Amino acid sequence: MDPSPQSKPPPSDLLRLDDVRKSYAVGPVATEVLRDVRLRVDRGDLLSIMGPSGCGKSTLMNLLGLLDRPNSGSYLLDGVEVTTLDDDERSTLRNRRIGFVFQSFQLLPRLTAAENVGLPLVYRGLPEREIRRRVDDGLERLGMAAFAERKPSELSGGQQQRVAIARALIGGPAVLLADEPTGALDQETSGEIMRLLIQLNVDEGLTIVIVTHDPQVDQQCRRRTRIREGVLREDTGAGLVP
Amino acid sequence: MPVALRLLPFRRVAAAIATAPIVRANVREAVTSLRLNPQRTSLAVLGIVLGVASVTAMVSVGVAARAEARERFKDLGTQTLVVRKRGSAVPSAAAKVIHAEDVALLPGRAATIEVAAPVLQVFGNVTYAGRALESNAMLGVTEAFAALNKLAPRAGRFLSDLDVHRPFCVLGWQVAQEMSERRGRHDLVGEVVSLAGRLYTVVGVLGRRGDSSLLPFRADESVLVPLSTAQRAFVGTEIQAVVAQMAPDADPDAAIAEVQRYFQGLGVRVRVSGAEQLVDALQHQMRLFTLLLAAVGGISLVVGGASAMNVMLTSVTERRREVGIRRALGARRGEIRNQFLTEAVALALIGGVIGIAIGVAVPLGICLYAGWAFALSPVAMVLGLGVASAVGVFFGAYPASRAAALDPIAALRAD
Repeated sequence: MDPSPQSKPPPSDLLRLDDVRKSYAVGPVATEVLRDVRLRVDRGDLLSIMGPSGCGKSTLMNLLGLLDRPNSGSYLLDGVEVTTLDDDERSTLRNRRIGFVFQSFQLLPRLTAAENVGLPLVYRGLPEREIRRRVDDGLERLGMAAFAERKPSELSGGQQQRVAIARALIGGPAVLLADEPTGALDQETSGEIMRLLIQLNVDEGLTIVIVTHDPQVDQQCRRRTRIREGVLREDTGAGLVP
Repeated sequence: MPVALRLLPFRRVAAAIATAPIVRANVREAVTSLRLNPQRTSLAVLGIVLGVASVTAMVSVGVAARAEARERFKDLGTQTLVVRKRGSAVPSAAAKVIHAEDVALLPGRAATIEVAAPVLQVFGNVTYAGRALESNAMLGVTEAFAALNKLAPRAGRFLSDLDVHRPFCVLGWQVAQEMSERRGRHDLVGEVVSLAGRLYTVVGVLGRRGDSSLLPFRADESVLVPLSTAQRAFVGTEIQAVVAQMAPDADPDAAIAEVQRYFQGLGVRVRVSGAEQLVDALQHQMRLFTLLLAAVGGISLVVGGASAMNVMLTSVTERRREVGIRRALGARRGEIRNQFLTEAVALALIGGVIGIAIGVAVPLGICLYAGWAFALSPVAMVLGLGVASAVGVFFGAYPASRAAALDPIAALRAD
C-alpha cells in the first residue's frame, strides 16, 4: 500500500537535523551513539527509522521528542532551534508539538482512558470543560468513545494503543513519534494500528515518524531510513543514500 | 510601586488560577494514591497525628486555663482586684497597717478604681443556742462589701455604714443553714449569736455566694459584722485585704500599678491581683504539662515528618514510570514537583485533621475531669492545620524534588 499524497501542505522541513552527535559516558569511555546524523522530515511525511536494537534509534527518537539533547549539531523543529532551549521550554514544546506513541502504551494505570487522553491538555492549563470536550472528540475519532471511563487494565492491547494514540493527538501535535507502536501487539492488531496510523497520515496529513525493527511496518512507510552503528541513511528504493 | 507590592506574587497567583485544572488533578491524584495504600498511609500519618495532637492540646490547655480563670471571675467580674497585705517577717511597731480611712480614700486617689472595700478576718467560736457552730470565721466589712462581692440578703438587710460599732451581724449562707438545722427555725433575723464571747443580733441572712478562689475569704461560711465593731472587739487585728472595683475602661495593669503605688506611698506592702494574674498563675501551674506537650509534639512532628518523607520517597520510586510518562506529555519539572508536594501535604493534612480531633478531645476530657470550663480554640485548630501543612511541605520537598529531577528517558524505561 503506497497511498498517493493529496493536497500536501507546502513542502518545507518540519524537522531538520544537521550533524547531530550523541555520546554517552560508559565508565571512563564515551560511547558514540549517533554520528553526524542529518535528517529532513517534511510535513505530511510517513517515515520509518529501522535498525537492530542498540543501533541508536531510541536515542534518535528521544532527541526528536525533545526528551534529550545532542552533544553537538543542530535540530530545527518547525524552524526553531531546539538544542539550546532549557528544560521547561522543551517541556512546553513537547506538550504542544510532539505526540508520543510507545511500544508499551505508557498509559497511567490509575486514570481512566478519558483522563489519560486529557493529560496533555491539563499540563497546557486548559479549563476542565474544554478538556472534556476535546477528549470526547478525540476518543470518538479513534472509535474509543464507549471506553472513556475504562481503566487501561480493562482494555485490550489494541484498545490501549488507540487510547495512547488519542492522547498523542489530543494537543494537535506537529509530529507523531511512534516507538515500536505495534511491538506489543499480535499480528492482526498490529495491522489494525498500522492502518490507523496510515489513515491519519493520508486523511489528515499528520506527520509520523515510526521507529521499528519490524520489516512489515517499515514496508508500509513512504519514506524509509536505516540506522546502523549510529549512522542514518535513507532507503530510496534504488539503494541507500546518505 | 512600593517594594512590598512588587514582592506580592501576582504572576504566581495568576498562574495558579490559570492552572486550576492541574491543581484539582493533583489533589485528585494525591487522594487516590494515598487511598490505594491505606496501610502505608496510616503508618506515615501516625507521627503527624501525635505531633499535631500535642500542639493542638498544648494551645487548647492554655486556652482552657484562660477560660477557667474567666469562669472563676465571672461572678465577681473581671473588673475586680484583690489587694492583700504582705506579711512582714518581723512584726514591729514600725510596720504600717491598712487603715479603713485610707481604703475609703483610694477611689478618689486612684483614677482607675471606682469602689474599694476593706476586709478584716478573725477566727473564733461562733456560738448559737449554747453550742459552737462549725463555722468559725468572722469578717469585718463595710457597706460597700456587699455590692463588690455581689452579696444579697435573703432575709433582713445587709450591714450599713450607719451601724458603726453596733453589735449587729449578717449570717453567711452556710452559717444560717447550720443554725436553722439546730433550732428548726428558718427566720433567723432577730436571733442572737455569740462571737468570741460577745453577743450580736442577726440583722440579715445572705443568699448563697459560692466560692471564689480569688478571694481570701469565704463569705458563705462567715459571720459578717461592721468593720468598726470588729476592730473594737478584736483589738490589734488589722485589715488584711481590700476588694476593689476598677473603672470600666481601666487597663488592669495600670490599675494594679496605681493601687500598688498608693499603698506603697502609705508604707504598706501589698500584693494586688486580678483576672490576668490568676491566668498567669494557672498557666504557671500547667507549665510542666505544656512543656511536656511541646516536647512530645516537636519530636513527633520530626519523626512523623521523616516517616512521611520515607513514604513519599517510596512513592516516587514506585512511580518513576508515571513521572516519565507525564514528562513526555509535557509536564514541566515544577509540575511534577507540585504533584508530589500536593500528595505530601495531603498526607500531612490527613494526620493534621485526626491530630486536631485528638488534640481537642484530650483537653476536653481533662477539663471535664478537673471540673474546669472548656473553650474550643479556633487558634489551636488553625495552628494544628498550619503545622501539618508546614510538615508536609518541609518533608515533602525533598522527595518531590527527587521526582522532578528524574531523567524522563530513564523514568520511562522503569518498571
